[in-house]
Amino acid sequence: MYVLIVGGGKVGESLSRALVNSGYNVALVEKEEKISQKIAEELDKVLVISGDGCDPARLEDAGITRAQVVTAVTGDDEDNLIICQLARDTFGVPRVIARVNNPRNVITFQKLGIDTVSSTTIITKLIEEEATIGDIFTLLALKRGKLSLVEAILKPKSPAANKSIKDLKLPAESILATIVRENQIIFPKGETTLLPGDSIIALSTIEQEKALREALIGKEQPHAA
Amino acid sequence: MHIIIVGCGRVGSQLAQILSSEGHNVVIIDKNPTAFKRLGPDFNGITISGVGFDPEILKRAGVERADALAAVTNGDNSNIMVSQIAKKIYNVPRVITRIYDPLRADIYKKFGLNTIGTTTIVAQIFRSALLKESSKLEFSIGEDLGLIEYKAQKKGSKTEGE
Repeated sequence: MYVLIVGGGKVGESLSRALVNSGYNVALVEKEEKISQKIAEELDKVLVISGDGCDPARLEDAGITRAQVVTAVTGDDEDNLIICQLARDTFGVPRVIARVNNPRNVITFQKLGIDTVSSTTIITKLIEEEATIGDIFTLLALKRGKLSLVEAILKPKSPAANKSIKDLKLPAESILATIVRENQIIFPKGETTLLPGDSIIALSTIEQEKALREALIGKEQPHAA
Repeated sequence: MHIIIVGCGRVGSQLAQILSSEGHNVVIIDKNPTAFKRLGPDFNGITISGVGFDPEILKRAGVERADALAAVTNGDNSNIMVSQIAKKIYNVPRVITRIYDPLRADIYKKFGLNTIGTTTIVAQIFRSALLKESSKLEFSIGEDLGLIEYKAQKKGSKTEGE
């Protein structure tokens, strides 16, 4: 697979290195000549192009016409948007991903149909999950964040503890996938009884994650100040 | 009309002054608040300092009820981004985008933005001025607007009547 990265900062350089090590063909476009030279010396398997990634000619030099993925990871959101739009609409690249530096721009990108990764948003989300949900963790976000795989650990007082699954009132858009009990994996059936200490792995839509949590481990506890 | 201007450089500030003196409600946005000094004491519109493509800033500028927006910062990509937000997200009826890079001006014109490629226009004007040509100049701006310059001929000149 041929991947084109625009932006040779810390993100772009690390991404290039990681993708090359995973066996991908990687090209990188970087505006600052000093930086592009340094990356070219360090990563000899990467095709490094020195120039403005918003310039279609530079993107062609970097082989955009045969790229399956283009990702724009510069420090400027407006550049990342334009690069992704050029890649998708002018060059027909099947998959484009933009880094969004300011989380306020995430909605703009989404409304203009560009997939984004915002490290600020991701870290905030992780912290919020730790801070508010406590006993339920998101293991994996699927379908662009619409569906999530979550893990909940039952406590002695949890509403689902010591009940069989068929007696639980689970939200319609959720399903219990697995129970991990003392390192044993149990595939849940209607008759399976849940015990305190069980780690339950479930699949749920984002909307029903809260209802699932309430069914399994009860209402959110107020924060200790 | 409620008009938003993004970028208070030479073009933006002059545009704001003209429109404001004609009685329009003008809101001008620039990330650098000292840029508003260009507007002079008579400007009676509203100034907002901030990044023009930040949706919060645009909302403060009244983008939801704006009749028109001009994107005239010195960054082509900023202009393209703010124009797309105004046009596609807030449905501002008239959005005009200044783009220096002729190639990008062409590309985004094809994508439906009303772009003004000032580099090409100025280069053409210079060319015809340098060559003292009598030929007309034509520029299309978006789909429905154009700029044509005719040089008037003196009576008796040999190109008269062409």
